[in-house]
Amino acid sequence: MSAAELHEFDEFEDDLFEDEETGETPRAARTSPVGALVLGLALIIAVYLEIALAIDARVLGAVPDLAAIVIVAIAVRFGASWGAIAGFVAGLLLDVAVQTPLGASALVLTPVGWIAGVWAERRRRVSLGMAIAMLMVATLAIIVGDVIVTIAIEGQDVAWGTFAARALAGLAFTVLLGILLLPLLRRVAGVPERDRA
Amino acid sequence: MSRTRTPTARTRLVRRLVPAVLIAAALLLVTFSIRAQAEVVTAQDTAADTTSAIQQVAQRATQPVRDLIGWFGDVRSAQTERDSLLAENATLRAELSRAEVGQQDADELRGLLNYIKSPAFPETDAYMPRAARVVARSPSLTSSTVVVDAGENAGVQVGDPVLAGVSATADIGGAALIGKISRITSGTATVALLSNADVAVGATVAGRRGADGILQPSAADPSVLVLGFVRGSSIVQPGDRVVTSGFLDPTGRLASAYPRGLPIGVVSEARQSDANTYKSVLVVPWVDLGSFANVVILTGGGTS
Repeated sequence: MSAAELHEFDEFEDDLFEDEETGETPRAARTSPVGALVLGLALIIAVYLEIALAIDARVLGAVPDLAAIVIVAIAVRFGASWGAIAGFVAGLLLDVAVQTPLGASALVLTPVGWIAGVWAERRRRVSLGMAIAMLMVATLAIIVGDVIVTIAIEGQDVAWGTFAARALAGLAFTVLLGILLLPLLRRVAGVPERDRA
Repeated sequence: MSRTRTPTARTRLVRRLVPAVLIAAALLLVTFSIRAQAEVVTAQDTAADTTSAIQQVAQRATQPVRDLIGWFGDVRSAQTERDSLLAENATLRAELSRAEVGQQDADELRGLLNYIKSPAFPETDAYMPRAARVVARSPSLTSSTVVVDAGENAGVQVGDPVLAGVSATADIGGAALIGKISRITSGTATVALLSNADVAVGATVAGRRGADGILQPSAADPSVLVLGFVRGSSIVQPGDRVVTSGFLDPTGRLASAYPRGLPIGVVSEARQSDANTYKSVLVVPWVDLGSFANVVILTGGGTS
């Protein structure tokens, strides 16, 4: 991790208290076509990697939620609307690939992407620490949303004890991987102009 | 110098509309998908066939990583064997190349097929074994289905029994039942695992007269199955083997989808309260339902 990123970590605590909700739409991020393309590709790769890892590489019953990491990165970089679109696309890709009812995953990931974007838009700046905190909340929301949709749509019984243990493992793996990947994604996609202020 | 732009009414409207439209679209898709509206299901099946190649690439590309993670899992569950195997495994995995991965898959599938065709395997003359590779599995924590790369074109039908290789640490060799085909496209099939609430298997405790019942997933523990409706007077002991019962009604018109004698798992506990007429037998499947990469589908059984 670079010195700049470490510095952002140091500022994390201050940001939690100092960042004000401006109520304004931040200045539109300077759109880098390459950055946007890379994040789009990263989303597709993340979905398929996650599915492949889930085949026989679960640890403690869970795999890291790679799609959540990229969705949060997109939401932070491009805002609420693109966060929602990223969630929707990732959800559809997941449902097509694993042949679950089409739209079920999108139903969970779309609002998560949107809320992450709204949250980011209302911040004067989003440090790496804040992005990771947001990733943690987003992952939890995805886990809870996924189990609700599973119960509602598929009528599956849930062994709550095992589920809680797997959820903790999944959350931990996602956050750990997020600590590694989010700085990379931020570097590739660039920092939103509101963060340059 | 910081500049900020106050959102216009149009921008605000778009920001609210985008998620609303997407969520509404997702809800509509789910509704159509559950009600099996032909257009939506066909579109999804077509897309699934189209993307299965991508999934196969992803599956193969991640094989070394999955092997590595699987290696950690093995170490955790078999610490007593760890020291002697650690160095050898690390060396072997470092040398693993793409060709070796393909060879490994082929060997595993050949072993599975040989076992199924061997005299040690239950009589399944009516069935044709068809090897397949798992190409997708939902990352969901409650996932109980997998997608394999053999579908209608390979003669796979809904209801066909599916088996997977048993780990070397189990006390039986070969393969054991993991579920049944629940959905097919031309090039892929979805396997509903024994841990899926929609799957129920007629099963019996081998060597215990009258110890027949219905095997279903446990609501309390996804790694355990429950053999219910076992006659209370039957004797069942931990360690007994559970296999498919392959029932056939006297008229011959109604038969189990599973041939008789397919291995499933081993009894871990038999419960019966004084008030109950039936026993509940807890069964640990021989195959770890959360982790396998190759399967064999018994096709052509004329399931009912």
